[in-house]
Amino acid sequence: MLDLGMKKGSATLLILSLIEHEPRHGYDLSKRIESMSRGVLRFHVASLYPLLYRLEDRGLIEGRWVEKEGQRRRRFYRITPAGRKVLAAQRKSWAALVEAIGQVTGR
Amino acid sequence: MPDFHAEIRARLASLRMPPAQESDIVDELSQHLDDVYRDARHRGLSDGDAIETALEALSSDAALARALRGTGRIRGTESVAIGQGRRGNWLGALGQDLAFGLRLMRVRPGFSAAAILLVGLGIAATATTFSVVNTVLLKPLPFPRSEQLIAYWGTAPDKGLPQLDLPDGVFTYHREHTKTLQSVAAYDDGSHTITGQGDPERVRSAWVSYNFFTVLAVPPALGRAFTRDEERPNGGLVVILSDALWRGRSGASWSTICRTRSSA
Repeated sequence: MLDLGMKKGSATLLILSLIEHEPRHGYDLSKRIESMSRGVLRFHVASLYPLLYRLEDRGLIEGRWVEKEGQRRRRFYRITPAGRKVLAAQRKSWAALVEAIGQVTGR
Repeated sequence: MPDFHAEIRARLASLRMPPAQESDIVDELSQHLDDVYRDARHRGLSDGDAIETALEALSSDAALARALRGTGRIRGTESVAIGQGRRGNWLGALGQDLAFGLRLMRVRPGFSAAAILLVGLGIAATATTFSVVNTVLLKPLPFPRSEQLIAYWGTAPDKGLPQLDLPDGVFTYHREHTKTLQSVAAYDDGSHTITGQGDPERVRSAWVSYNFFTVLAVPPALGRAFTRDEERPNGGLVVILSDALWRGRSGASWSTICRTRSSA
């Protein structure tokens, strides 16, 4: 199991890609990351929310409280236009990294 | 459901955040732990184990405060109910709300269709009800001082007859002796066939007392109203045409000549 708190670059890529098409709240993000990685990647609360707040500070995502009748308010995060640019750039970098490593390791 | 607020607050105490900012963060994190707890219980864990699982998600005591200390930004504390905009950016927030609403509808198409159908039915029913109420109750009758007009009729409820026409004699007595009404006129609707020009035409008509137009305070636009003599038997068959009939049947001609035949 890898601690995503130590790999901020990849964590940013994961968060931005998961909210690329629709806003999500923190627990939804952590669940998706864990389930889609089959438990290999996991976020602690102490890693996830500070990261979300930093991404907000950088203007890459935007958090918003949403109230629905009869439910507690939840904070949803959506990607901003600046976030989309960073996401595109990080996807390219990541793909290049994976390819480079593959060439070195022969896979 | 256990309350994780106190546990989280204790771990953030060292940050000495303003109450509003702390409240937001505590709310958000406690909701995360609530979800972890709920999922653990759903998987079959006991209450104690589920609480422990939730608290494990918080990591060590100092880690949370240490990680948050690096963010350093005062976050907004306003919550936005769905449908409300943020101050100063209401148009942008409206767009977000619409997009969010459309996404929710796509995710639950059946519920969305039912909701839209119900809203449509409600709007249709409301519009129909209002148009009836507006026409019957709110819009005044097209007569001067229409609030002073009343209509009354006979009734025999014990015979199952909620409405009875009054005999002519009773009407005449009311007209001559009433002390509560300024004046009384009679009205009995029916239909007649008009012949003599073009094809015979069945039209709506009414028998009225001579003072009908006086009571309504609406004199004929052209010509004259009825006279008292014309109400008497053999007083002559006199007709007042409606504006629509006069224009349609005779082309608004002064020399309209027609024969009428009583309805059967």
